[in-house]
Amino acid sequence: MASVTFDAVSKRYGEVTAVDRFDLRVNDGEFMVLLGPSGCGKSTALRMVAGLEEISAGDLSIGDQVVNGLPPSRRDVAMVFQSYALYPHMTVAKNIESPLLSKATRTDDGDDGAGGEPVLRKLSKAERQERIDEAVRMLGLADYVDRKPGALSGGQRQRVALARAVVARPAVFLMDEPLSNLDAKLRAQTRIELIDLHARLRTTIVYVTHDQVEAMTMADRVAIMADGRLQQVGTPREVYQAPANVFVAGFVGTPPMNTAAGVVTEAGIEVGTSLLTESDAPVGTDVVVGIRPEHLRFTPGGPLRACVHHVEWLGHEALATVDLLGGKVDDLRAPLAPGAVPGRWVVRLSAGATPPADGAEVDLAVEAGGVHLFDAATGWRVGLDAESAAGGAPVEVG
Amino acid sequence: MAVARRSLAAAPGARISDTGRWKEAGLALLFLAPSIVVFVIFFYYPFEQLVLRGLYRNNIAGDNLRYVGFGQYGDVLGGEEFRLGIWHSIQFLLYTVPAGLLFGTVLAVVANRRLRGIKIFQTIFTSTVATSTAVAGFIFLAVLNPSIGVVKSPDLLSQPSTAMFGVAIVGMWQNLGLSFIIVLAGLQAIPQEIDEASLLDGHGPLRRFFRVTLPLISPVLLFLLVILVVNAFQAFALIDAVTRPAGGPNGATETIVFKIFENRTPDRLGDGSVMSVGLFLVTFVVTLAQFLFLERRVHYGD
Repeated sequence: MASVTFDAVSKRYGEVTAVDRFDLRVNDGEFMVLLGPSGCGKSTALRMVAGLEEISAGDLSIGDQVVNGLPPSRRDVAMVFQSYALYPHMTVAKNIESPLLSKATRTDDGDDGAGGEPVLRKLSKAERQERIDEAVRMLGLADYVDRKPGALSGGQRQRVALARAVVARPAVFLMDEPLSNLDAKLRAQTRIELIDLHARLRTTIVYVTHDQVEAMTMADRVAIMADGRLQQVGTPREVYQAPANVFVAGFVGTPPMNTAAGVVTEAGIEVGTSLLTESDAPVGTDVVVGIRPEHLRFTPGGPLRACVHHVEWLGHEALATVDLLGGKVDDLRAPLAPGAVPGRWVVRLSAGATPPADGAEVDLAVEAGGVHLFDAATGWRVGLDAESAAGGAPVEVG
Repeated sequence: MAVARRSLAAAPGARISDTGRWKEAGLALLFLAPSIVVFVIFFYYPFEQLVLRGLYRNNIAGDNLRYVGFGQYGDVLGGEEFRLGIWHSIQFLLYTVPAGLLFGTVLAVVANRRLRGIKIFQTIFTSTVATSTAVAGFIFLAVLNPSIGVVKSPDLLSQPSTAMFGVAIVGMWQNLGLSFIIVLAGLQAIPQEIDEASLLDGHGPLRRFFRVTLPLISPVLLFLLVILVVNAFQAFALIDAVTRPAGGPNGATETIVFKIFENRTPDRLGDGSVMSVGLFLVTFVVTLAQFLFLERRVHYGD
């Protein structure tokens, strides 16, 4: 067991900076998800922990040890790859045994139950078999040990990859989009199994994904990245309820947070010609107003006026897409989400609610506490700055 | 396919009708026709002529053709000349094939890394493929020349006991490019993540090579083996280019193709034809054996 600490870690490929002064502390036993769009540097960050990428600057520590110069095999980590990377010519049992053959393996030798340090050493053949059996039992692979990966389904291969990761009892599991090759149903099932596995082993996990559902359901904490930089780190609840900047607001949540440009006045926040409730932000500040779809209500006399574009009925809920009326509404999220129509918002309705007809003009009200304000100039949440957010400072839950 | 799908659509739930199947076979034949024509004209017909020619004998002028039957096959294939030719070919094969596999693999492994300028080396290693046999022969005549060569003594090519080895050196050099390309392609087909998994498993370079790399390129090595063996059985131009007299001292480098070449005069066409058929059979059997015995030990992945 060990923590993983990124201290101003950067990765540069010539002129391109893939990871830029990345700071993050993954606590011992924590399930940390690195979340971000493709190309944001999350996989590079993970591969630096594994030792598969050299670190251009900064210090990366596993436990108390700076591992920048250590080869992958001496970092006491195991990795689950997106493609599973099983050895196609070996049986399941041989695949699982592979990490035990060449390197020192964690044993119970020194563990006297009183916090004695476990000893790392080579295992005997019998001990290896014992470990394989244990991993096979844990992942339910007993019927497949003599098969080769080619004769397994995607889900079974996934389990073999997990078994190969757990067999050496490493200090840290590194997972690079391990569920992305599974179909939706199997993915949902495997998510739960991963949560169970983590609950049982309490091994530190660093998990990379671009799928926010995986991040929200499995993570103890989520670190959201964009353009090689850390945007916010917090529990799934924190990043959802109090996104640190416009990027996080637009990235976390399906559909994402509605945004529009506004300005803070004595009377409240002006969005176009509409006026939202007062805020404690300094008067005169240009802001981006963010409101989650579920915090909007169709309320006659509400402060925002909109025209219904269309309604999607999804069974358990309905999503109404509306175009804000009343003055020009800029959507400052637009540069981050190409193709987004400024002022086109989504309202989430419960299944029981009667949705308005397409083309109807409606009034919208915002639930108390539903308005998020971001500084229009910097994109950061009003009252926050990049330093305090990336430093993992507690973020107030709005 | 299109035909089959249409007949299915016409009768949902019904099996493909017999007319559909016949139509499909006709369509398949149509698609195969170009290659069938090429094979018939350039392989089956000449081969049939070759087999028939082996049943006849004629005089020095090339006429007075008379039928002697399969007895001629027995005489020639059981004869000293054919056996000696095959033996020399096997010697050449034993030098060039293992060396081709080994050197090709070593060079490819060395050159298969992401380094600046590695493409230059990859091009150099590949260049022997693009070198004509005559040029290669000329180069090595100079390299192995006893008075001016890089390897001055012993004079490999003029001693009956070493001439085949000298010739084989040129053959090995010529095979290098082909072996290198094929093995390098095999190595580059190995998913990077599998290499990385092995790295994380802590395997050192040797263990990684024997446990992971070698099994994963084994289909490619089998392919290369078959190609090299066929090449070795067909070796001729190279030997002709570097040996004086052609065929080496005391005929020490007269491989089976050399023997066939010597039997090209009109009065010996029958013998030459029989030897050609014999070479075909030997190559066929050896190749078949390679597939039968080695295919099971090759991992084709998934």
